[in-house]
Amino acid sequence: MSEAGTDPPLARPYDQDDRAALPADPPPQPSGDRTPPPVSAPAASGTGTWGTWSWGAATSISGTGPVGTRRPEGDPGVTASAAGVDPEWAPAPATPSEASDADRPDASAEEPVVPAAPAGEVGDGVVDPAETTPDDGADGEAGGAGAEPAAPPAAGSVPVSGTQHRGAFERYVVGDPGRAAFGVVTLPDAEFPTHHDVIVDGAEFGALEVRAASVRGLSHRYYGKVRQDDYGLRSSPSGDWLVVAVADGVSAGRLSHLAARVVAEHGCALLATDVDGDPPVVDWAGLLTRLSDLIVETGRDELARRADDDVTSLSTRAMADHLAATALFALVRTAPDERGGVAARVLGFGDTSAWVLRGGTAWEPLQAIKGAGEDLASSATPALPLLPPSPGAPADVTVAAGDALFLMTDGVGDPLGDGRGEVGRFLADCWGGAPPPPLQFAAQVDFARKSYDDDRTVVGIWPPAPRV
Amino acid sequence: MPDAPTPDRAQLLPFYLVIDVSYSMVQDGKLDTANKIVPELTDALAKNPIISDKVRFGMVDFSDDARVLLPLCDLLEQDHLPGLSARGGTSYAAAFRALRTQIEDDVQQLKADGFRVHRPAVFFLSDGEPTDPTHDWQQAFRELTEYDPGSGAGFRMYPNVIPFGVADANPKIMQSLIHPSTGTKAMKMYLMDEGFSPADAIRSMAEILISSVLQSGATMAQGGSGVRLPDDDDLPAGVKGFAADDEDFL
Repeated sequence: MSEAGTDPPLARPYDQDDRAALPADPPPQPSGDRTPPPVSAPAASGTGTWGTWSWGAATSISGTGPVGTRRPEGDPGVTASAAGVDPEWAPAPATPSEASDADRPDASAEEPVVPAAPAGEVGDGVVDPAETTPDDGADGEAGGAGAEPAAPPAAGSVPVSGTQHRGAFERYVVGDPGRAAFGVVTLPDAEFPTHHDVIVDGAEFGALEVRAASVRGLSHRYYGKVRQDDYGLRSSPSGDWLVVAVADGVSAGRLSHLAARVVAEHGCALLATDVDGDPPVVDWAGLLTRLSDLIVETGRDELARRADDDVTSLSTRAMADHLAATALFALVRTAPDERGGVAARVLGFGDTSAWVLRGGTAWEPLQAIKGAGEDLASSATPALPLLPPSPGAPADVTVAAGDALFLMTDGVGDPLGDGRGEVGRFLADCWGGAPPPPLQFAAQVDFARKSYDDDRTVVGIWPPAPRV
Repeated sequence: MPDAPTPDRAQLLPFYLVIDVSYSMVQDGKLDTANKIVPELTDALAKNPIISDKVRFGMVDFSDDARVLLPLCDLLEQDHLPGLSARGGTSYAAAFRALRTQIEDDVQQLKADGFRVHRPAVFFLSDGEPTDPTHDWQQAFRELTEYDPGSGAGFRMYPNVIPFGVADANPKIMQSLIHPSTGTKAMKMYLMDEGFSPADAIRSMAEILISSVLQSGATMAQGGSGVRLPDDDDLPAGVKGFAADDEDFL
């Protein structure tokens, strides 16, 4: 622990004797070339309510710190010797490198005031256990935002507050979260144990920044049903195009997640090979037909494996009762035009929707808004393997610098509505500037809002930011 | 039409219980049992946060006239649930007219508040024949349920109607109240088995109502009318389900 006389006073939430009751902590993690922890400061203006995340039991855990708190201000990144970390404390994320130390002043400037973190916590930071080079200790000036601690902890001491990060993740809440958001206990789907609740991606494709997340909704979590949304991302062989697919499995079909996977994976693969032409020539009708066939084939294989009734004679319509999914595709140029915008072509079948967020503030839908002008909401939707009489016309759009293109399932599209309500403002807030880090993006997709418990998938595409 | 508010608040499933409180309901414990429906539904909702976030419930009773005991509301927010008491004859027309007015008011209010409202479902419970003239209640029922999307004629917010008949309810009349009567979204009616205890039959119907409410919320995403009735094999004791074209009970 700390050596007497060298530690600044620590804010311990409990007596040291309690530590015997702590569960054994995992061994300290090695340092290495870890990327700095995401700067997950709340959206710049601090709009949006911070709720609390509860794991398992419905009791809420009040956050003890803003999301993304890694170290308090002023922590100079002091090192511990190799003998270093007190093994009873939970290991911290890696000490940020100097590069991220430079980031931290911005992060801490934007962190909301944390009532539970008394000012005396300087030096009570997270320390990378294995860093031994004295150079790191000398980069106090890179620590930036706060005052140096009067007496940095001595080597060998790891004055880490054990509960600083415990329960510190706060869920995004937009408006009334309802009871389900914090009251649902998540059950796995015993029938499909390898299908994950959440998938996330974030990468650059050419000049485009892309974020993608597919999140299992509260209803499926409650009823122990698998996530049935999916997405795919693929670069064309030349790299000139990004191909995106978003698919929403029809929840009435027990196997619909398999249909969504077919659309996402094979849809992207098929389009990627077709799109490298100038202009690109895409046979949409052929694509939908091919995907319909693949979905039926997938359904047959799966039902046969389960030794369900004779499946070879099932018609496409009958197969659609077992598995079906909507499909939405976008082809996006990976290089901007002379004005800094990127061209995109979007085509969909079903109620997955595409939007352009203009200027970081205004949501522009690329299709008729579901339910617009009707009195009563309806939830029927066309979906593959059933085929439309004709595939419809793709929509062409230019995503200007400062705009961003979004493809989403109705798990987000429904609460977004026409884009002018609370959810529209929240998402514009989150995504109207530079794209957030992938995990934060996923957390934002998973915002809590009463009655919106469907699976959610969003793929966001940002062209290069406008040059200032 | 003026700029309607963005329908981005919660999406809601409205359910109504329309219940006969003619004097005959006092006999055989029917009214007492019926009085337990709403408290039990409330308990079921309290245990299921997924559904309770989406369900709104209203109650109308009818005898010679009809009264709205509960406008569409969140049952878990109610301090006081109304009790049923018997008072007179059996006017189906009064029930249907009150319901039509109430549905229109409730749905418009919710939409004005920015909610997305699915088509309402009505559970209609009666223990005897209507005492008003046939053409009267039939007319009132048409006004409640008929709608032509092409021309816009009729009642756009028409409900799905699920009749429950016990004791001396007329099976044919109850069958005529199933709405929609045909198609993929056809509803059903439930009749007490001959000789069964009416109070127990009402108990079973309460279970059907509650399970439908719970199931409907779960299947609200994608497809269907938003009302999920139990399979005929899964019914509690003493009741049977019938479609609009079933003849089995003759």
